[in-house]
Amino acid sequence: MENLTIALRSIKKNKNRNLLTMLGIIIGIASVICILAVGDGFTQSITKELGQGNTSNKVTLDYQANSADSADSSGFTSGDAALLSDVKGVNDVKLSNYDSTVFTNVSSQGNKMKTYIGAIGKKSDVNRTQRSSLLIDDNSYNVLISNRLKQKLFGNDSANGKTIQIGTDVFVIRGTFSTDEYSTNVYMPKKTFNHIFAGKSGKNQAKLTVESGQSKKAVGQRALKKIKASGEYKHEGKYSIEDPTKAMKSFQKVLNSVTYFVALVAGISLLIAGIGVMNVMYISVSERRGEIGIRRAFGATGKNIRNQFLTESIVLCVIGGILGIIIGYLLVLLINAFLPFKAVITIYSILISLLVSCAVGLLFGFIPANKAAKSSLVGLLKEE
Amino acid sequence: MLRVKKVSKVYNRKFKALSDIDLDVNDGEFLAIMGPSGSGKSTLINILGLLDNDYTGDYYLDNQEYKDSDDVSMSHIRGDKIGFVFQNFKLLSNYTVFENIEIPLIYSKTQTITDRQTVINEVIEQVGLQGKENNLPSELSGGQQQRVAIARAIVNNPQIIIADEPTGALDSKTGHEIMDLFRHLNETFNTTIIMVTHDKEVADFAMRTVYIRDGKLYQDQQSVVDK
Repeated sequence: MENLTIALRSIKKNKNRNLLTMLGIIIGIASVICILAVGDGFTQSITKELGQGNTSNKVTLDYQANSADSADSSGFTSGDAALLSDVKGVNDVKLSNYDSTVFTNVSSQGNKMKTYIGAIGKKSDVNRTQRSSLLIDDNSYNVLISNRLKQKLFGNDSANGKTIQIGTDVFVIRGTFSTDEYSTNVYMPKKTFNHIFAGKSGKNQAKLTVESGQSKKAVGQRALKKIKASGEYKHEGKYSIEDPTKAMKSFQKVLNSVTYFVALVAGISLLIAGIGVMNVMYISVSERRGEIGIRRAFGATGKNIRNQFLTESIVLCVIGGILGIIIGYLLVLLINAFLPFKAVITIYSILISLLVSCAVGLLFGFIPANKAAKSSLVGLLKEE
Repeated sequence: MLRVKKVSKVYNRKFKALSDIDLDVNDGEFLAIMGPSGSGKSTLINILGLLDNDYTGDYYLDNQEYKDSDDVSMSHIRGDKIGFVFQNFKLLSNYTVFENIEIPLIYSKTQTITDRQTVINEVIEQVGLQGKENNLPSELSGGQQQRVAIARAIVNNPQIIIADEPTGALDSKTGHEIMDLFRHLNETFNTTIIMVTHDKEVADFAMRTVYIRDGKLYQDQQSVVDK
């Protein structure tokens, strides 16, 4: 308690000097708070997401065609589904597409273009084009075409109400939309799409439901091995197990490298701060040699003196740490404006920060404090 | 009681600051040590005050030798038995009178906070500094500052006071007042006082005077100084 009073008094006496010394600690601790907040926020959001999507007993196998031409015609077949459902531990198998597109010829008035044709069937697809809501739940032969395709087929003329031919079927153009070079250029209702291209669009996903008590990983591996050996289109494409945590992992990777960078900044600034603390403590010790001498003469042990200066350096760092936590909190508020998830400051990260500041104080204050404790008493008293 | 037997002190293996000093100081004695600058006075009182234990020979304080003691026990004995008064007061400039006097009590385990206040108020009264408790040293005269230093030296009720040129920084009138205070402490509390001075007038306040020159001690020989 006495040491704390002495420390605060000494820090207050040299406010400016000590504030500058604290700057490194403030930056370091603010960085630590930010890293931990982003990391914790990310973990929390992922845990929440994984908890919501019931993927706990599902394994998804993907099929990737070797060439674009075979993409529409190859994939998982009903035979493959039967094969997979025989795999030990598999409850049922469901085939699906992750994208409903085919690559085929579109023509009108003698102009021709080979392009992707997509289906719109869900409300979520509506935002792809402004007027696509017209096409939902419809089995009409209406399509939307991209401006690029319109330009190619009709030039500068309006395309609305005009017809295009896809394969042998004729469609009425109901609107246009803008798109990138390689995107789907034609959209039609899902029902129509399924009707026309049934069998043409390969099923490129097989979703396996794993029996309870079975290892997802083991069942997935067994299924993969079997489909690789006996899949109908094994020569046209590759099979793989979809990793639901893949996206998370790749983001984690980015996050990790950012974390390492910020940790490096934090580490360097804490190191520099520590050296600053050591320097300021050396100055404090040499300025107060007379005081040390008096205290020693009146009964203070070397240990008393060491503890006094250690307390001072720890208090200095903890004040810096608290300021760092406050600034870190403000930074996290700022970061949250740019992050897809919410960075959170936990009690744990505040405790870590305080612990780190204590440690810096202890570590870098020790040598000067020890110097103060070990100084020759006669020498200390001789000086004025 | 202090007993010094054949104590010598050599600096840097060459300079012999003290050679074969023999000195006995009885309890309650007021001793003045006189001698010119560089004669070894300060070296001797550093040893007597347990500030320095790097010497040869024997020094007993209450029949105990502390030459080979560790820092902790030396510090505790110093805190309990010895009070120091220095020539230039050596007060902490940013501490009040009260806080300066409190310093020895911080390191003695026997005092509680309320005890401290009582004890400090008592010694402030003894040295005549009532009403100055919250002043900083810079707000006091030299004589008053030395009174604070004396109060600090006696607050732990020490057996011995070691004073190094206590009037060196004071005019002669104030110096005499301080010496009166020392004499009062010596007579009232039977405190042993060992005082270094080179002022004959100041030394006359003591019961006994010893002289030191070139590291050698001469008992009661005025001529050593005059030579």
